[in-house]
Amino acid sequence: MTETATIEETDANVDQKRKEAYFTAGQGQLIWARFKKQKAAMVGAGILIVLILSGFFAPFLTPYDPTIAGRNKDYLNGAPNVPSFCDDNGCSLRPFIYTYERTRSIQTNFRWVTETDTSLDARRYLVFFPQGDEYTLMGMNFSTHMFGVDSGKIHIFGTDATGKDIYSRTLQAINTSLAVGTIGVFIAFVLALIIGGISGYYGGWIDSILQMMTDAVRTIPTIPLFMALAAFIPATWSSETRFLFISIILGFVGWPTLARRVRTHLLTERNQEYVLAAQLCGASAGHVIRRHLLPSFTSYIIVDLIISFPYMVLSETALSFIGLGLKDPVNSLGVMLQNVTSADVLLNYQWYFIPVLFFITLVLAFVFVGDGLRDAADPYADTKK
Amino acid sequence: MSDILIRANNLSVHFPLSRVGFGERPVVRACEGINIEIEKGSFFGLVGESGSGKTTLGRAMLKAAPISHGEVIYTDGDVTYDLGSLKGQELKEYRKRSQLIFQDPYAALSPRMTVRDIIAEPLEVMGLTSSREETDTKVREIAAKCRLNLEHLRRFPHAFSGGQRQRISIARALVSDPKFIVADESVAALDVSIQADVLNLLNSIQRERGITFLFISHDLSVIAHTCDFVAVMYLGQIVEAAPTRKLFSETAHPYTRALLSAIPSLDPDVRGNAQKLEGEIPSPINPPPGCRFNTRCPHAQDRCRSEVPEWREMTSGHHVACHFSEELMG
Amino acid sequence: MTTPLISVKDLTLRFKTDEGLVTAVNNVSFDIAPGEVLGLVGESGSGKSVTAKALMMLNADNAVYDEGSKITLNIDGKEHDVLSLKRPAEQMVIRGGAISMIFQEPMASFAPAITIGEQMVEQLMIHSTMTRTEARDISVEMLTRVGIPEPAERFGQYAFEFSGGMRQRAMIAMALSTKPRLLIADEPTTALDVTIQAQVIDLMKDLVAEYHMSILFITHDLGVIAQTADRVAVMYLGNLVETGTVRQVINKPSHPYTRGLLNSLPKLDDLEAPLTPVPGDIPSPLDRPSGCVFHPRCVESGDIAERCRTEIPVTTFGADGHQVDCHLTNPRDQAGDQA
Repeated sequence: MTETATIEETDANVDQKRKEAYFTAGQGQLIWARFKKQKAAMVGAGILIVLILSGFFAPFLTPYDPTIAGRNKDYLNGAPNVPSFCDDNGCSLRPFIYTYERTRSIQTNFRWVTETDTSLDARRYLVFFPQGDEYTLMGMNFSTHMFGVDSGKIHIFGTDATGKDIYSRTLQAINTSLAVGTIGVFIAFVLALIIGGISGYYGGWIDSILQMMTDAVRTIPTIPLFMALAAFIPATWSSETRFLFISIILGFVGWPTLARRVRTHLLTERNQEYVLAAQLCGASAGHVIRRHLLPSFTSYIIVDLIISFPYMVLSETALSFIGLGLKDPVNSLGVMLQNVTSADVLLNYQWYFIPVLFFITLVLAFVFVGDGLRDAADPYADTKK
Repeated sequence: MSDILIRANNLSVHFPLSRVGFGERPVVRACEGINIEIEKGSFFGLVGESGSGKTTLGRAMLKAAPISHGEVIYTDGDVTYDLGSLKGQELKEYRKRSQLIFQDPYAALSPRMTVRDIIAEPLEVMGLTSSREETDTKVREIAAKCRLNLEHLRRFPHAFSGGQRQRISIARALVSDPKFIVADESVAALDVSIQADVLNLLNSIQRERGITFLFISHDLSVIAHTCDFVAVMYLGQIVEAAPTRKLFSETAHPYTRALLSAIPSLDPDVRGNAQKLEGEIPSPINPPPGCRFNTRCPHAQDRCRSEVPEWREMTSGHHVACHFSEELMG
Repeated sequence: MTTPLISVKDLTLRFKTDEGLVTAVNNVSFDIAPGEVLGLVGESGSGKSVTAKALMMLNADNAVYDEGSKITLNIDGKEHDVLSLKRPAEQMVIRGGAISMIFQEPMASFAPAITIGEQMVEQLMIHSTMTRTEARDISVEMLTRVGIPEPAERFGQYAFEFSGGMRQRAMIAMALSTKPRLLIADEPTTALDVTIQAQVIDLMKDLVAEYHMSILFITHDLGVIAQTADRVAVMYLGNLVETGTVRQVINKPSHPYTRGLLNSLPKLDDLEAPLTPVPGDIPSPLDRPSGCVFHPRCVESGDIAERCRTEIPVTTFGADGHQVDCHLTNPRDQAGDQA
């Protein structure tokens, strides 16, 4: 027997403003709201932003010029200098590193060894915002770096065989890889949009022919292609040109997958009733495409783009690693890894692999963000009756 | 004799299917030999079950389905359009005068556009207004008529229920001031209590603006209450057409009779009616020979299996296609 | 009074969603006697499907059942507390065994890549100890019983080879092959053409008589209910607003919502009558009204509107079993109804 004649509270304590916000939320806002709820994706996004900014501001964040010009002749293949606050001699507010010296002598079997002097006087303190090598950022010249040491050089990730600071090179490499990825994805995207768009919008025999073309391009094996291209690149090309060339090629090879997605989205969307409604008003193809089709798959395409990014980065890394891609002085992870295959490095200079961690993080961040976006991307799926 | 706004003469709409093996290409005979005349300002009902071709007929009358044979002529005052040969500027003109209200309120509205943009779209596409203010004024006017207020205009479709979305669809159809609207199962997806609301809205619009409606539905009781004139379709053909009252009081075709008796009555004591049809609805790819209804008709005779019944006028305004209507009614 | 086959008491069900805890079913109680057809009527958002699924524990994981909710199944003298069955083995007794369900969209209920016959046999073999041959025989027999021509041939066909009406019949055959005590039919005829609907309704009524089975018939179509049900329960926004025999509810509706629903239907015997919709729109489940859930749309509240807004109505039990939740039919008014 039911009783209770009391006032019932509303179950979901949603106030009017929130509801109104939900009602007037456009597609972008709805997607963002759903995206925010996914922890992994938000963490990924945060990390991604940090890495992208690090790459962009690399010259400021790193103490030295990552090219030959900034190398430390006295500290080849040097181990990382990790700053510390305290040691046996007491603590200090400013972090410091030790003075190091590389010597070799008969005692060390003529191998280069690093000796550190841990005495109090030999401490080298970190300085913040020192003046250092000049660099150009956004068209302007600066020479302030974020940190440095009061004397000598600091290498927090160590140095490579020619004395170049690995930390500086890592951040620069992130920048390069992102640039290659951006150009590649952009080119792939433009091609995919045009070819996939025409294919999906018109259907019929145009679609069949374009699909055959797409499949043909997709089956081209990339390694032999790149080998051929690498052989073809004249030695006289500057490294920047080479960099551009590799990026463009990656774009030309990457468009089929994206084109197929664009086509599928279009084929579905153009059969929607609201498209028919627009056509029954006499809407031109342009209007339908602009107003209905493009916005409908923008969210999916953004997801596809973000997910393609790591593939571009990894492709470039692989190519450069085997020598078919970028070369010094243009710097990328692949280039940095070109020298790791010698036993010497593997056994003694493990710090060469520190950049790998950065790249794993970068790729994973992209993947998490892409996954999160994909899950958030269809905010209208649950509004069907 | 009042004006006929749109008429179909011997209209057929066929959809070829892809060939299976060798031999003739199968064809879906969605509409076959349709003859109807819709009076200006009337509410014309088209009723049928699945496979009857009613949706296709409605679309053909808007030039949204291809006309395979026959013709559809639209006459309004000084303009006459032959839909079969309509193109270019004339087609654009026709589009201004004829609109469609869809069945599924969830699929008919783009989820990415605000209600204001959805309603304004026909105005923008057809270039009916010259400034944003003018568009806004017109949109607000139509929206008010459909009981949508200013707040609603700023929202997106996901904020609305089925009935409200259907009203948005109706507003969109009305904004270009059309003369002819096809409402394709527009209340089928709605709850019963909302259905009446939308039907009343359509009726009031029709009275106010004198718009001619072609109302397509599978629900004979809904049609009975809203339409002046009803045509019954079965498997691509019209089997009976009459003013509403006559259709119910002097039913001439066995299929119409079966449809009427199949509607479950609200009176629990009226159970177990006569005229339950046996069998399934045949496929429109291979319709039965002769009268298409012969496979399920309780009164079918040999003549029905071989001879296609003629579309004839029994009494004024009442047409039927059956060999034995007089006997059955008498 | 015979023991009801299934007894639902104070069923309250909420769903955890992004927008908060949404009440889908609120304090619903009803009984179904063996061999009885109970019609559950309601529109979208009324909670009728959720209630039906609760009987078989088919609701999604984010469903939260209230403490006081109780669903009791009485079979062969034994009582089963449905909501407390956690182990799949126990639940199996209910699902497909004692209770079967058929759905609105038969195409969605059959696996497209397995023949109909195979699916029916699978169902039988899960719920009994039959051999495959026995199961096949029974399945073909059921297909004949539901009026499918050439059942032996149809046994080996796939779902897409059946038409809508036949698929629904096959679905009924499959549901009945385990001889359930209760058949839950969730909008079984809504997707069918009206002439086919008439056939399927006749079939279901015949089967009830033959198997002495109960049916919980869920639909929004009052005409279908009038023709098939013995008793009717009307739901609105998760609440049960009126229950009674079909004649009581349809001929003498006691709740303003039921009255409004009946008035909004186009009736063939009075073509002149205007269609009067129930004013307003069904509120979103996030926005449940206070007091009587129907009060914002009720045209009959009149003087007591304030009470309707603040107080939840108490169920009034008529002497003849006609129940209604409405302040207008107050405890003072209990002598009112006659069947």
